[in-house]
Amino acid sequence: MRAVLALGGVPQTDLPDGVQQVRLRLLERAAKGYEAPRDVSAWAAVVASNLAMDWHRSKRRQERIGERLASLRQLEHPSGEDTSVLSLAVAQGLDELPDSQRQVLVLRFYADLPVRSIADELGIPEGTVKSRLHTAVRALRARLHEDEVV
Amino acid sequence: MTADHNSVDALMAAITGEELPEEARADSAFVAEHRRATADVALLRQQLGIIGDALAEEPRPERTPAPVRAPRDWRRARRFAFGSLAVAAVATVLSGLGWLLVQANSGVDSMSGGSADSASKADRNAEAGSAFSSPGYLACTRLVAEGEVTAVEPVHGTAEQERITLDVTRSYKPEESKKEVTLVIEEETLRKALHKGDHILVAVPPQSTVPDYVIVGEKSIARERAGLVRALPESAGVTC
Repeated sequence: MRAVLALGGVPQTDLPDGVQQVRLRLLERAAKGYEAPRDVSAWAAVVASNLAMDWHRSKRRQERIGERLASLRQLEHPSGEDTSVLSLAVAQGLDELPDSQRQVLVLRFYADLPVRSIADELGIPEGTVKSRLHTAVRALRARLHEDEVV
Repeated sequence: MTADHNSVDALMAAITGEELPEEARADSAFVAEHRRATADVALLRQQLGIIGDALAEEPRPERTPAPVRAPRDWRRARRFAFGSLAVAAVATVLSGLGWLLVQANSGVDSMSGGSADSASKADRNAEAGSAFSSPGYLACTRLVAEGEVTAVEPVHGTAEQERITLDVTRSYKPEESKKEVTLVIEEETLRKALHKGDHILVAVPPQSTVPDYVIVGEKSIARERAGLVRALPESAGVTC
């Protein structure tokens, strides 16, 4: 949950708030008498990704995950490693993606949600999800190959 | 960067995990492009796991010598995270507010702990194509096998790892493996510890004894098996 929020650009200091908000959504849902989500993990991932989107809009800022990862990596791997270089390149690529593309990318490849579930949960056509995913992956792929990271 | 084959796009097929039509599979150039796309998508999936886990970690107040332990494995951490949420999903079937209580207790925010033997996760795997159905992922394993846990013991020097002995009943990769293998499981990612007699399916990366994935229980393993058997031949042609 924290990871979905963080990948969506929610700053680390705000992650606990984000998690609390997901909990609140659960409570609200129960209080309204709605049926429990069929797949709670999928539901929670989508709520977190939507929260990350809202976070950007309300705060008008977004943490550059590439920069944050770089600061973490300096602590973890002061000698530098190929894996770190690749992770940084991917993180920087994520920073360049439009929010809507990054959201579906995280839901598909971090939360492991099928395209159809993402479309259902976000209330958008399956074709739109596929199109966003295709554009996002193509851009990241091109970036990594051009930078010769892979 | 992408290739089409009568409306089938190699990159899109890799993204969605859909099976290639027979005629596309007969096109060697298309298959080659699909393999490259699958490998890149697997890499992207892996990197998102690494980045997400790194960014989600609680800030450490100070750096102190860490106890001896195996490197954090992002893929298992993620798997168990969704396992824990899936436990809550199962609880919802039983009673109205039960799911909320389970959810609150098991931690929506938790990125570890839970059951690997979850129908919800397995269903999603079956639909989306899990790591076991990914030739790109399978290409990056040294051992994929199922069997029975015959021994579980703590690893000396750490309170967080267990060493298990697996009596291999079926080896997928390599086709023939040792009858008995020893693996290391990190306890922190397992809310439900493994026990002697558990039937498990494991995927172990190269030069490691720590499995990326541990699927527990015949029912869950059965859901993975078809995709695994289907993906294995293709994985042989994929470079890790």
